[in-house]
Amino acid sequence: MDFNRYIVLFLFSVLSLNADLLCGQQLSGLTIIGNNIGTKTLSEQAVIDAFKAKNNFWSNGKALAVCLPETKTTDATPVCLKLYSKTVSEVQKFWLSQVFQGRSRAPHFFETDQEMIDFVEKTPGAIGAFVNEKNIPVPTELKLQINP
Amino acid sequence: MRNSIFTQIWVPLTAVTIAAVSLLVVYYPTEQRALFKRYKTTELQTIGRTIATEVEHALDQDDFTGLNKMMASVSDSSNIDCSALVFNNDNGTEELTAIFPTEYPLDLSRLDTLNNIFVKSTFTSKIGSGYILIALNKKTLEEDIDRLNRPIFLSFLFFGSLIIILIYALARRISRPINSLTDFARQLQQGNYRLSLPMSKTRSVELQSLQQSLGDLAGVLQAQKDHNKQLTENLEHQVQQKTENLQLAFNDLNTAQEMAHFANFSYNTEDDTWKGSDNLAPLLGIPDSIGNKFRPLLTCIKPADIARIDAQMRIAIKETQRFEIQLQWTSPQDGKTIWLDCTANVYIGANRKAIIRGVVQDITTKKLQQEELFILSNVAKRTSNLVILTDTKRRIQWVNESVLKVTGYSMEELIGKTPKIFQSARSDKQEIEKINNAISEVRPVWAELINVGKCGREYWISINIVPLFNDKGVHTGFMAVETETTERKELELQREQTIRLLEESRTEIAKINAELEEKVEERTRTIQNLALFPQQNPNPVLEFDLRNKRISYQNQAAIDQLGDYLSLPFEKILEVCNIDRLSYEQLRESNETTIHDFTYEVKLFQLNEDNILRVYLHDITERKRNEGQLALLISRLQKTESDLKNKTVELQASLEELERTQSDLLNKERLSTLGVLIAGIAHEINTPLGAIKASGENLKALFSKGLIELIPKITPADLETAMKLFHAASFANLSTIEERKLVQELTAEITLLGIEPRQAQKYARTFVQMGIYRLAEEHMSILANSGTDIILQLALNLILIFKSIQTTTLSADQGSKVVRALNTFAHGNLASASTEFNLHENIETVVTIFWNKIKQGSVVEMNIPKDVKLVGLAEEMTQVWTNIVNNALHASGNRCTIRFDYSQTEQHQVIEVSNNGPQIPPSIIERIFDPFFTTKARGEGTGLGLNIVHGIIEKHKGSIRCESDARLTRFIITLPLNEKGQ
Repeated sequence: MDFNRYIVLFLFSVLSLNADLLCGQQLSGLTIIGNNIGTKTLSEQAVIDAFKAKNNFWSNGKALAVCLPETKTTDATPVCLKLYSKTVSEVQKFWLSQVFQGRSRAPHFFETDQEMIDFVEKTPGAIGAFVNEKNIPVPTELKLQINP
Repeated sequence: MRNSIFTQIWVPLTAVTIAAVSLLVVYYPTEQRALFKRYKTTELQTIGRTIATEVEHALDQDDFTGLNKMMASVSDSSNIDCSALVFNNDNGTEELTAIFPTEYPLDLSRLDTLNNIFVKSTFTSKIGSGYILIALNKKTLEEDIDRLNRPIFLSFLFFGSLIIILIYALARRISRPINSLTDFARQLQQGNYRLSLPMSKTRSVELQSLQQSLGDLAGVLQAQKDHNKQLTENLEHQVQQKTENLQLAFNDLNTAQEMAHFANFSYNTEDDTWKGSDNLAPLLGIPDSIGNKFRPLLTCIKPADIARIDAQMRIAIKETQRFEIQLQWTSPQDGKTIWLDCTANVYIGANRKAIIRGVVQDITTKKLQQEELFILSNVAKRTSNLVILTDTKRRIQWVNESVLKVTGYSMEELIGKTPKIFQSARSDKQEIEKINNAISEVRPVWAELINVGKCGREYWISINIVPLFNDKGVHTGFMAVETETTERKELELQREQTIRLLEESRTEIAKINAELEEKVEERTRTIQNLALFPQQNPNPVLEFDLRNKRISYQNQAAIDQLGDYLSLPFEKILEVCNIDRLSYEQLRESNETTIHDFTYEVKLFQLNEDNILRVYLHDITERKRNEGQLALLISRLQKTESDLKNKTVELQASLEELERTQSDLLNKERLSTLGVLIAGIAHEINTPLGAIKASGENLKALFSKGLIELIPKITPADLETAMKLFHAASFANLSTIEERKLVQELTAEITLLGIEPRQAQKYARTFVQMGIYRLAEEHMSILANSGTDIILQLALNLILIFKSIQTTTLSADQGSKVVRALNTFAHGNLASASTEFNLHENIETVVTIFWNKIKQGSVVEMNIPKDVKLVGLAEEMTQVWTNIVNNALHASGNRCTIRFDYSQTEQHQVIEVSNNGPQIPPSIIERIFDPFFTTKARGEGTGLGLNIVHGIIEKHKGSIRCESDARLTRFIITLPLNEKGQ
């Protein structure tokens, strides 16, 4: 009896965590912005690959600049989960590994969404993600269309 | 060339240079390498630290730009082989998060630790801690170092070579003028003083000065050479003269050595060789064949001296000091033994080996004289005679102990006085005159005098005075040897008185005899005259006709004096005249005889063949009276002689009485000692008696209250079990503490068997009393038995009975031993004949007697073999040990170590009794054997103990002496060996 109850709880948890995946909306809730990255529309996988610095340059030759919320902000956890499927610490370790090995340039962390928008706006090739709960106005030219 | 100045300068300096360059070539790169490694390591640490800081910053501040730049610069560094980022997991493992360059495997265990140097820098961030690992390629490092060192090597080689060349040039420059001067000096040395000096060019002021000096020296040497030649001739002459003088002195020394029986010797300890002066071998009788090795000579030295020589020689070598020794030497040539006095000094040679040089002297004559002097001095000291030495003016220089004893004066009172101090007023003046005359004429004299002692006692002495002369015949004084003759003199006076009385009696008798003879002769003559004329004879004359048995003639005197007798029958007359037939027949044969009458003498004559007998009767009454007086005198003489014999017998009896008294004294002394000890001995006897009594009471209680009550309850099985326990019992004596501990342990064991603790303790106590300290299987079965109490009680009673019997036997043996010793000690005067006895047992008896005192804090060490036998009076020897042991214990307050040692020589047995008690003061040690001398308090000692000891040892023809110092007091008793060598 107890055993069955634990199994039910476990399945519930797994289902809860991967609800978005199951429903095909992994990046939902995130606002992805980019500046001069050679396209305005990106697939979710392409966004994830960009944030994971699979390629350090965009198709237009601009250098990739990853922008993320600071780890102490409330946005950090959902952003890390959605983009990297990792915790904040794991994402930090990921980037540490990347930078240490010279695989990619250092990412940029911002305390506020506005700071991130400002940076992306000024930096060609920059791509950022945040949870836009405060509904800060995002310039249209920066906003990227994400296809599932 | 090899030792030239050039070589001496160039070679060492070149060697030093090469050594210095070699050192630098070896040392510098090593240091450089270490320095470079340190530098590189520090650099890596700095880089690692910086990266770690950047990592911390990146993780804590979300700023990776610094790290990005840092890693970009690191990737440009050619010396870094790789860098790695390692996180410490919570479970203690390490996780290699990243490695650069990325071609390296992401696995910590696969890092190349052999070819790389790793530097670790830790970091700590909010997401965890870890470290940065920087690796430096060793090969690359070595190549860098070599590249750095190469120009330095070349510099060292270049400058080293340059210095060597400079040194070469310098050496040549210094040595050339010196060589030139040296050649000149060599020429001078060879005597070529007229050689011209080669003037070489030199800038040195010193060398120029030396050149000038050598030139001057050549001139001076030429002059000195001529002068020396003259001096040498003079010296040779002087040396020749000195040599001759030395030879003469050497000869004189040899002669002196021979006369003094001296010889020199030296002994080399390194090779054990000796050598000596020419007279050494003749003096010691060493043949040439014996060689120069020292060891063979040891056979000539008396074995007893070898160890002493060896010991003294070792000390002398160790202390490097002089030593002297006297030894006995047997000549290997003639076997003659001589005494040698050896004095030697020790010298230590360069090789640290000792050389002994000294002289030996034959002192045999001196030694014999010393021995003789020692004997004579002992005789003078110890003799019972009185010995007085005076100087030429008759002042007393020395007297022996007998003089002090007899006169009562002390030595101080007599020294410097004349012997007149001893003279008595009753001394014979003629004897004194005789002595004075002999002394003034310096000749020997003998006399008898009456002397008087300090207290006025007069005594007779027989004095023999002899003049003394020294070696050169100079008169040095007189020696008087006196013998006290008071007793003998009194006896002599008695004897002389008796003899005088006897002589007077004899003279009187002779006188009377002579008178009588004279009267008889006169009478005879008268009778013979009257025979022819019987009628004129005033005495009665009768003639008997024997044939006819009648008186044939009678003179007028017969008729007047005999009267009526003549009318008697013939036979009766013959009877009256004491004449019978037999007498007649005898008369006929002898022809003439005399028949005695109390008052008349009858003279018979055979007149003719007719058997006519003429009888002359004459009155002998007076003669008879004289004869009576003579008989009286003879009787008195015989009585005097008898008295003399009686006196002699009395003297003999007195002597025997004296010996008896001495024996009694000995006995009393022994009994006195025994009396002092008797309390202790009684204690020694009482102790075992007490033990026996206690054991008896134990036995009584065990029988009455133990066995008798138990017997009705015992079954055969119980008895068998109890007997097993009895046989298994041990009889060790335990202290109370030990016993209590064992009881506790055993109680614990028994309690484990389920027995109530109080009962278990009771059983445990019983087992421990039986000597059973651990429970075995059989004991456990007994405890499980219903009759446990009876079995244990029975076994315990049997064991206690056995113990009591054992105690009784041991105590009886101890008491018996004490009583036996007491018996032996107390019956000392019974044996008078010498017997063979065991020395060890003899001394053991005394130790047993004194045991009560000894055990108060003394120790007796018996170093006498148990089989040593003495021949003598065992009981008297017991008295010897008794007195010595008693004195030692008394002096030390019963706290000392008394030691008995025994040794044996060819002719003697030596027993040494030593103790570590107080020292006997040197002032009294000479008197301890004197009678009535004691240091004990009044009433504690008789003062006869050691005197008796001395007497006993002398009786055994032995000697005793005492030596005492602060460490030991030793009594050394020497007894002659008996015929069996024991």
